[in-house]
Amino acid sequence: MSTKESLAWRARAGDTEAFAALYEEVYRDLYRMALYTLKNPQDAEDVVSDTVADAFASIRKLRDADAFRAWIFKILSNKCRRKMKEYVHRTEELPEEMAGGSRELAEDLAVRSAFFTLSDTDRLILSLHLFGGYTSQEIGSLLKMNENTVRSRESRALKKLAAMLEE
Amino acid sequence: MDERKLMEQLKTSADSVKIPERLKPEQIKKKLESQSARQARKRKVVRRQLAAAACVTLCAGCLVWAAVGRGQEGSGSSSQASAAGAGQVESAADNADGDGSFSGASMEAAQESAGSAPQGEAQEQYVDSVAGGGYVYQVMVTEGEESWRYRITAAEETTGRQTDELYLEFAPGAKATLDPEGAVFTDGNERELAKIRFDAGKISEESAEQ
Repeated sequence: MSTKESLAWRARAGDTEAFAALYEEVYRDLYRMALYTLKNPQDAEDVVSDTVADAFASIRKLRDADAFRAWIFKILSNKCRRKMKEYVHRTEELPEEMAGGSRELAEDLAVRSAFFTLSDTDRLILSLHLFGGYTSQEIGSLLKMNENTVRSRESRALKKLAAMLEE
Repeated sequence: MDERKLMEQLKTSADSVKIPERLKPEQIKKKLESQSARQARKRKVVRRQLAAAACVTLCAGCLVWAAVGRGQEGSGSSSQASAAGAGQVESAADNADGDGSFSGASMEAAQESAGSAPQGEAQEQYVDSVAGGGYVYQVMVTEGEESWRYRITAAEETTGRQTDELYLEFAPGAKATLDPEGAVFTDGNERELAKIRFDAGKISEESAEQ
């Protein structure tokens, strides 16, 4: 039995330490994906926290230990989509801590700011690809979209992003 | 700009994102541990509540079973007495009632043939019972040498809880005929002695001409 399988097996039995070990491998990308999708650090934190609680509660449903990453990102993406629906009637403002910060590189900030101008769905598609490691086909089945639509939306979003960064 | 390069740039920009302390694995582990402990406590409470509910159900079941068992015991002795009584009716050929009612004479014969409860001894015996509207009405008799004392009771069919009771006394040889609406007591000459009405667990006497 591999380490991952043994951790998943222990987590399924309610071992919080084993679950934390599995979580350690993904938590950074989970938060980054939530942050890049929702554009709000507080909401991103809440969404990841909820995701972890839900994942721990339903870890018994996870059959394949290697699928842990994809499985937890799926829970997160569903939560992000639900959160984005709440945003529909809300005007978004870039939080101060995201807009500035002396330690951050100017280039990173520019990329992030440009990324935040993309539509909700485009941000979710790119985040799933970037941080979750999902393929276009997997994103398509997750968001109930055609694989080619996902690919073309991704391509258009990247072109828009490139144009903004070149300005 | 190349798409792959742009993706790389996006990923690099995300590397500088500071992860909140609350989401660090150590904190998450603590949170999950307290969550698990809370759930375990909740499960314990639910288990206790279920056990208590099971006990209550079991007790209620036992009470109902005991009540039903008592009723069956009564009707069982009645059918035995009826069977013996039927033999007497056949041999005498003058006392057949044929309507399911239990006459005093046949009951007496049943007692004699069974060789139990010698006459004159004040011992209450089951006569008949009828069910209607969720209640069971039962007639018992205590046969004295000078008079027969009838006890009519009403009880809830499901729980066996008694809801009403009525006593009547007639000259020896009286008989009772029951139906879900009520009971009629007659003497050996088929003369009506009393008419009883059953209504939602209540027993009331309509007329009496002792």
